[in-house]
Amino acid sequence: MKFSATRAILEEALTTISGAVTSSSSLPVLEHVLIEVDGNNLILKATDLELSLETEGKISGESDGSCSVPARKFQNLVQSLPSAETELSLELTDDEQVKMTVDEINSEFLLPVLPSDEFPGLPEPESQNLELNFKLSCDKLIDMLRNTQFAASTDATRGYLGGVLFDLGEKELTVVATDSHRLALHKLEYSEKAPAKGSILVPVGAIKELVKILPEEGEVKVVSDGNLTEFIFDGSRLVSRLINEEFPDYHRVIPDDYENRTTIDCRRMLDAVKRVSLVADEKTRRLILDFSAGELTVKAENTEEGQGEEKLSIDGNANLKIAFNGDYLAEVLKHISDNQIHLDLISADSPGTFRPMEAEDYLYIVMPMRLT
Amino acid sequence: MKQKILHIDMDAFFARVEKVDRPELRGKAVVVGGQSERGVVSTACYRARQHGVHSAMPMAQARKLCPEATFLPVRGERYKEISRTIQKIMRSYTPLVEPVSLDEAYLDVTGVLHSDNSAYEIARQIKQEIKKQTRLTCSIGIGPNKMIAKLASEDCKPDGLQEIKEEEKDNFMIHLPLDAIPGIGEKTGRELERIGINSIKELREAESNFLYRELGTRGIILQKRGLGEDSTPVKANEETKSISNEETYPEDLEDRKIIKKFLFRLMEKVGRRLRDKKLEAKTVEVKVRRGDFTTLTRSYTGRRHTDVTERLWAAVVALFEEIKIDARGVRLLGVGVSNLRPAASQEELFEASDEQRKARLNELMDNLNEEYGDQTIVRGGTIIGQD
Repeated sequence: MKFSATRAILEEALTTISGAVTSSSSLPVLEHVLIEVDGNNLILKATDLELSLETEGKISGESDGSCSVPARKFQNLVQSLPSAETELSLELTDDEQVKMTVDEINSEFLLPVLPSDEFPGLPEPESQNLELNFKLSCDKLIDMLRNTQFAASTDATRGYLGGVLFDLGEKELTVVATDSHRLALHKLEYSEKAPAKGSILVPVGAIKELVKILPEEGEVKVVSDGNLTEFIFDGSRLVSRLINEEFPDYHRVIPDDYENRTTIDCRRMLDAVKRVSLVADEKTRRLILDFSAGELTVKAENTEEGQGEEKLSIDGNANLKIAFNGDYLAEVLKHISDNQIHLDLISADSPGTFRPMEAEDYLYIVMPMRLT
Repeated sequence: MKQKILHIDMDAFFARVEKVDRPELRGKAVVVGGQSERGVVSTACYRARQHGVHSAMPMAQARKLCPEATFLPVRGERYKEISRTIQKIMRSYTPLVEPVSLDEAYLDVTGVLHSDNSAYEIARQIKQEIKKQTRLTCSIGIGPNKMIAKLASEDCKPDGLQEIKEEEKDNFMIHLPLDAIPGIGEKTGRELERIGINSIKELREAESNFLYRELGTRGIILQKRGLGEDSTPVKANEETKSISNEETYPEDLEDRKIIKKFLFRLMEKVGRRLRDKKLEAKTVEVKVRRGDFTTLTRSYTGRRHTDVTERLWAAVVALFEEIKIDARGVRLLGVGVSNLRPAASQEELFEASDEQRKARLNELMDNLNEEYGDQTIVRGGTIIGQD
């Protein structure tokens, strides 16, 4: 195996697959990246057995072959090269090492390798049994995922709460995430023909990685056989195991009515929530929203951290006091790009629903905290 | 400055308090414990220990071994009062005091040292001050970590003071018996013996891969302890770590239905204390001591925290299902909760209706019982003698 490439090409490819590199593992080969050279094609692969990533790049190949090198070390070396255009060449030596030569700076490095057959093959959904198979523009998917994934639980032991649901129905695609205290949902009209429609639950870790590496342009193909899901885009693919649990019936918790609709300036409310949260109880994060006569008071009660309140003017006639976890409020307000947001309330012990004024296809439901 | 930890352990605490309060008992054997027919020994003074009496032994047996001893009931409030005095003394030396129980605490004095020898001096002063204010003696071990400190105090009991410095710890450790190491009881001791480890020296020298293969991470942890390593910090805040309640019954219980009712009553008490402290729990534990004193505990850790009695109770029921009740009967039952955090009082999306209704019911019942006294309102299941 021998090839040469610019720092830019290698750096991009290594960054793409780095999310699937295990940092410490009982299987040393999982800390490695598999390098394959096929003509003028470079293929990099990494897997932590739950999540696998593969990407391609254009290089000038001299001889085909493959080997695996310690991923972080290799990535750090490549990133340390003087400029994006710096050329380097990589060669597998006879004594089972990889030699990296950079003529521009007269340097030569040797890295230990593991034989490529020790590297586990990347899994793939079974193509005969696809339960889901559709395409979507990358920018739309990025948008939907950014707006929902933060509501999932990051606690991996919590099963379905640590996943993002893709639900492709007859006419629409719905992406939903919840940690059982709040739920974010983004809908998209989808009337195109898809070879297979259904729903899958993808671990939030894989979704975060996907959002990082999806390009802004082009299409992404999503397929799943019920055990694995694969996202294919622009010369790369991400494969993840699915969460094998039933997602709760989210339709059931979407309030179909409200007593009070309040319209609030998003930015203004985010600032107030962030400021007052600084003195909220460190553990419960509880804030009280007190609506009266066209005014909203965001309050943190007297705690060891102090107390505080901030008043803002709003549109609406709500006359109600309700408590929420301030972090849950800040997170949704950060993700809404509209200027104005509706907050629909029923009572102090019913969920609050946030809907961006201009975007009917998005909603965020958050359960209150007890007031006493 | 190198880390210095003190482990302070009062000598035969309950028994000595009784002797201080009743001078006529001095020089005599004193055993403090449950007074009922089936009570057990809480503390025996050193004189009684010479007759083979030790804590957790049935009082009846203690009476046989040492008939001349004075047998006294446990006076919890009095011991707490003295414990507070002792803790106050400790806190006047360092804020980093972690009480383990009424008569035992760890102190991190690293931040208040002037020289390498001042930990010993501080310990000497604490001993003196405790003696002066309470007329009680204690044993203090000083070490580079909590485990060494505790081993050092155990090694110099009673009324002792011993420092094991970092450079002395290897020599100190290898002369201790294997079961001195926390986590090595009878069962683990046998497991170690089976794989050819009979001494601390052999544990230290074992291949860690071998220990891992045989005992898993536990093997690695035990070896670290054998090497005298312990990185657990002294935790000063007195956060509640668990809440539990247990009862010994005048007669062995055999009927599962009745046992379940007693368990429910314990659960209710624990649930109320939990809500009182504004906490929620994730782990529930059931303890059953059989007529022959074999004790078993079963615990369950749920997915989420809760302070709702019904949810905790569901776990107790499931745990109890796995416990066989046989002719030996049950003399003691216990229910406990741990893995605590402040009650967020955060409502849930998916179990909304049911869970929240129960939470409100709990709140209402607590208030009534608060106002009109315990057992004003109880759940049907706890009325003993009725189905």
